[in-house]
Amino acid sequence: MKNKWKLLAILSVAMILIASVAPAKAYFTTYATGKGSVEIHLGYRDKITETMKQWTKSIDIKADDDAVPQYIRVKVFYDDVYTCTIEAGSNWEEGETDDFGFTYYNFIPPVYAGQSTLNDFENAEFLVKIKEPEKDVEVGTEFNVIVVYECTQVLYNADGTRQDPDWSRSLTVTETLGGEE
Amino acid sequence: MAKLKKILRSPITTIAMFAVAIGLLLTGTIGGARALQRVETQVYQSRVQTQDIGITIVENKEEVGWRKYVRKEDGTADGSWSEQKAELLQNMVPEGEVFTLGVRYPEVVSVKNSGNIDSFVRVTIYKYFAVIDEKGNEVKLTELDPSLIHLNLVNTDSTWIIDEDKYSETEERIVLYYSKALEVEEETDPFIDQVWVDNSLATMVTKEYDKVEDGVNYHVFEAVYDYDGIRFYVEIQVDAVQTHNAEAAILSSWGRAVKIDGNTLSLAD
Repeated sequence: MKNKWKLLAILSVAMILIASVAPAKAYFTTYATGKGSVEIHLGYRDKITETMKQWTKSIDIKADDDAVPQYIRVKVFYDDVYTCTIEAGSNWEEGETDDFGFTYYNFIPPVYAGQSTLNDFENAEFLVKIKEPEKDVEVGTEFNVIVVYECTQVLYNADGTRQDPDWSRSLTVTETLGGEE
Repeated sequence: MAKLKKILRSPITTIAMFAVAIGLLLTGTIGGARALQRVETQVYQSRVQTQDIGITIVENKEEVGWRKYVRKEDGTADGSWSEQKAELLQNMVPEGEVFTLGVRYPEVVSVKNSGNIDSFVRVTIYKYFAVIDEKGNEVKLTELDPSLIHLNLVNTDSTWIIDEDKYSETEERIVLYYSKALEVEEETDPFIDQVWVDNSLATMVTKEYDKVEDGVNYHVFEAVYDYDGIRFYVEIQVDAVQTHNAEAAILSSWGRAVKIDGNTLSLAD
């Protein structure tokens, strides 16, 4: 009996407290969402083909089908046993010279995916002519002609124009044309 | 004191408290009854339309995402709800082209009131890098700085307000409030108009050289970039709230204190 009155007292206090709670408010709200993404493709893969004929090496550089646009340059250097001359078409221009006096040749236009310097550009031949040695060169004399290829990705300005090639970020491949006389 | 205790403990006191509690509960929830003079007129019809709120995301002048009631030809709602999540950036890169770092791509985004009441709106933008794993799940690249994704914000010196509160603006998130009440069918000024990714992503390179063995007259060299094949993401959420009692509505719904002066919104400190 005593517990019943206690329960009634508790219930009364609870109801008084509930009555003092402010009513909840609901507002008109809504939302809409959206999401999107774009893939970023970087990287390139080039195939360098060299054809040697009568002491003359012809060079062709081909970019892979999914390569990003890139600039290419070439440098040829050799020891003084032989003399090499470079014959390059008008799409090549002489670039900077290193401390040893060897010159870079820059391929002027960017090379895009699937393009080959010899097949897709005019005046793009690059010939390394090794001067035929004198007939009295001793058998067993070694010679080395080193060809250095460098490539760097084409970057763009905010207005969509191409930036000048940044060779400080280039990747380098060195190939030695060597042999024994 | 003993007498007081005896009174408080008595059943009569308990019953009285209970009666008071009942009375308070009833008067607090039931409105007073009113008696009106009743006059009968001829029968007439009236159309009753409830208010509804709707919002639409507009990308490059095309409505791409929304949440609103479907409307009949006469402009009234037909009772059904329409919702579509926007797929953004789908046509950002021209067909046949590959997305290129540094190039600014046009991407004009705004918001439209597609309900039948005026609203205040805000936009929350998220940007981040991620990859898709073998199971097709999106895995965020937390080591890549989201600030390499550039969104050109526009009209932020006029109609859009950037919320620079430290809980709102982060490297990954931007929150914008439209400073005017958006009328029915009205569209906001754009809040972004270009998107691009920083060139510096291309400086993160692992060099590789591979010599092909079959055939002696050609070589292959390959550049492998650290972040080749990743994706950049842009997410947008647009919120709308009623203009009536807007300060309380925005504080309750969005958790942000604002000041409303007529139809103008400003952020409170």
